[in-house]
Amino acid sequence: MSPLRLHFAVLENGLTLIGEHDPSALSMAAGYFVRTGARDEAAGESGVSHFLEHMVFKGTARRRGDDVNRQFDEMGAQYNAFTSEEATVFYGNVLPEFQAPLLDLLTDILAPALRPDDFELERQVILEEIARYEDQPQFTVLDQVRRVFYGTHPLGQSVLGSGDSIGALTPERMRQYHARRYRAGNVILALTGRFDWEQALAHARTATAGWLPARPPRDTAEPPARTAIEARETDRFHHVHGAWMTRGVPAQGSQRYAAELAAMALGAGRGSRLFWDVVDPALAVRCSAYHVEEDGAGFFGGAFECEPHRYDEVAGRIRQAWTRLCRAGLGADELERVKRKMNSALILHNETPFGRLVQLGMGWLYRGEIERLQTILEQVDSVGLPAVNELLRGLDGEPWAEFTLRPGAPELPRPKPGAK
Amino acid sequence: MESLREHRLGNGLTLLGDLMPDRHVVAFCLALPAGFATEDPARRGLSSIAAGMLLRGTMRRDSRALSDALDSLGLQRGEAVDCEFIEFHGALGRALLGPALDLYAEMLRSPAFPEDQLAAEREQGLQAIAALADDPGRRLMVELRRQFILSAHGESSLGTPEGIRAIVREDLVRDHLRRMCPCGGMLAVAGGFDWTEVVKRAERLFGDWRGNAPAPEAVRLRDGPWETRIHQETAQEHIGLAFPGVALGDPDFYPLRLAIGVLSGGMSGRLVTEVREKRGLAYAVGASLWTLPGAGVVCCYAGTTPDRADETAHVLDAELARLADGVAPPELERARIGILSALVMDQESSLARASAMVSDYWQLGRVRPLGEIQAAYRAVAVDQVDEVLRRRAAAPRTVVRLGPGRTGAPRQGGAA
Repeated sequence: MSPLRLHFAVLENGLTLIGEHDPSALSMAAGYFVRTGARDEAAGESGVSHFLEHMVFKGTARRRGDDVNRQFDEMGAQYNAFTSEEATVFYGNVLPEFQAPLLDLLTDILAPALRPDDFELERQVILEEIARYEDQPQFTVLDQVRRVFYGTHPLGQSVLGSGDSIGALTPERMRQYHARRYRAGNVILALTGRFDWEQALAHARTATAGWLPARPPRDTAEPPARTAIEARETDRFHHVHGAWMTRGVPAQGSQRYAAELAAMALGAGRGSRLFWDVVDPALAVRCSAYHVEEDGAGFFGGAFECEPHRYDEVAGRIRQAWTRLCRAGLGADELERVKRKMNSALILHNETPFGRLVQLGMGWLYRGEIERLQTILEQVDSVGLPAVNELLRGLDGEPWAEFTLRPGAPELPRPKPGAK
Repeated sequence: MESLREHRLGNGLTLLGDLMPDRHVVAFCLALPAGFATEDPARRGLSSIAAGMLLRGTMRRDSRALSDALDSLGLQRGEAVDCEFIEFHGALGRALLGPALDLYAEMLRSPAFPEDQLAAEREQGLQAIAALADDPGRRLMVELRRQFILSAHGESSLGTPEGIRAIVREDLVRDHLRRMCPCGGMLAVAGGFDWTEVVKRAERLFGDWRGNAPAPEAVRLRDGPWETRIHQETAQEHIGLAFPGVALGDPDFYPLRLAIGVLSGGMSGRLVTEVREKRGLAYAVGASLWTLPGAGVVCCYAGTTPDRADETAHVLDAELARLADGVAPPELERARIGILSALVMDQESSLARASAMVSDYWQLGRVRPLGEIQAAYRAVAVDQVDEVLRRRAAAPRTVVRLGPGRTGAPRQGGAA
């Protein structure tokens, strides 16, 4: 087994660098993890985090957008970015000899030029992305159920925004958001695989010297949650698409692995309780459950798709399965099975430098710790049955939200993309 | 040191191994020649129903006991029904590969096909077909495949409602004997494992299994231009386009694969540049080359709002036409390094290595060592790419558009 070496540094401006070096890896991965997302958007900024993530690839003071794309491709990089409610992540995976140009490019694009022409063109792409998700009801319901559950709390805000909110954004507004959120103290640079730590450190010292320091605040008090059931009728789909949410464990909570294991037993595919109760007897096309950790919050949730006449039965069985799980808890065998499944899922997920990068970076964003895979595996293994069942008992009767899209009357006409 | 291993059992089942000694996990892919291309045309969907029914219990264990036994190993598992194979793949801790293979052997060799579970399995199949209507992007690709590939390879693994309704238990039993056979099948293993142990165990579990599955018909592609529009009230119009590529073993394969890299290899590829970056017409746009025995398919996709669909289709068309003029050396180099890097990165994933072995062996009858693939890509010169494109990029295309735009019958007839 190859020895993994951990690295850590904080620069004067507050930028944190973390790394887990694996001498047996064939490639290296690097990523900037910015602690910002939909929940950090003020009124009038809905969708700006994600729109900015796109604009980051559209050029800087010393590069045009096509230079950025071309230079990534010249390194043979696998690269991309993603935005969630709480994080915006930019990453690249290259062969080790391309580390220096990869870092030069990644660091440069984090200070985008936001040119007005590029902004207008990319607005069209964002509107197309929104339209694309409208054709994927399984995603629409996940966005909507957050709003139903969290209400007006920032955690209920949509990552994509709406046609209206995107139509109203300006480069100036985005610049303000960037200046507020992309501060050195709010960003980490994570490295995995076979990287050169000294080179990365020297690069970051020089190249981020001009970044604004400090770490902007985020209110992480546990948000209020609502019990509510909302449905929307549409003539565009044939099945009922639904999602539900109830209270879970925050990313900083000591019971988070217990929550993950409980969710896995409830609804992680074949062999889970919802599989046997709902999918195996063909009541629904899909029916799953999961646990999501958030900054100071966390939730159990699930999604399903079924024929309209089976909706009552499916929704009833999901609710029943949850209540039974809370009140009677997991069985000892069941816990052992899900522990083993989670063990191999974690090992597999962390097998490649890129998979490892996301686990390492998100762990730091939430908990400020470099979490070795071995430590995570041991923590999962040490979760006892009483701990899981005590957690579950405490969740019985917590707020429950549900959102469904159902076949029915036509929706109101969609505004044309781009229309203000 | 060469990491690949190969061993053929007397019954024709081929064992493939890729050793990654420092890994704690091992991934496997067990592929048997019972895909939908050879299923009874009056029972379309039989392969998928059979795959589902195999998981519903053996002569020794009911579906719950089987599932619990697999889960107790911590196995990450899945099944896929493809045109020529049903594939079972999984990954788990290296010490548990043996017990996992034991369970798969039991599942494949002594299935119960419980009568009382068949109604639910059929119902799942019917709902999966209906679910396609709520997933327009996927529905488009299923239609494009059907319109362009005229042999049974163009069917959907989902089958048809009539086909699924017709399936009775007797069909499953008969079909299992006829097609779920070791000859032509593959068991590929990648990650941390002991090759000798795997061979020994496979001999014991599968060695006395006999049978030859029927051979699928040859792949046939549409050879004339064809366009179909499907009306559906969607937010975007989904545009799919296909034309003949080449098989994996064809001398044109590497040059054509590089050309598709120029078209769609990264964000600087021609399609993203022209459709997304310059015009903002789409969020998702791309092209790929996928291969079948003796044939290949180049496939393009773009999703755009309906009033921009004609312009998007026009740009796609123009970019494909421009391919015939050849590629510039810098864009070829970018495509090459992108493919070569991805090859190395794929080596880091045990599941990716197991499926790559199956894919190679299926189409070439052998697994290409990494060094051979790298050398082949490095050896392609720009004029070779241009020459291949001159011959192949102008091939007639099949176009399927799905969206709320006007409905219409096929604009021009091919071999319907």
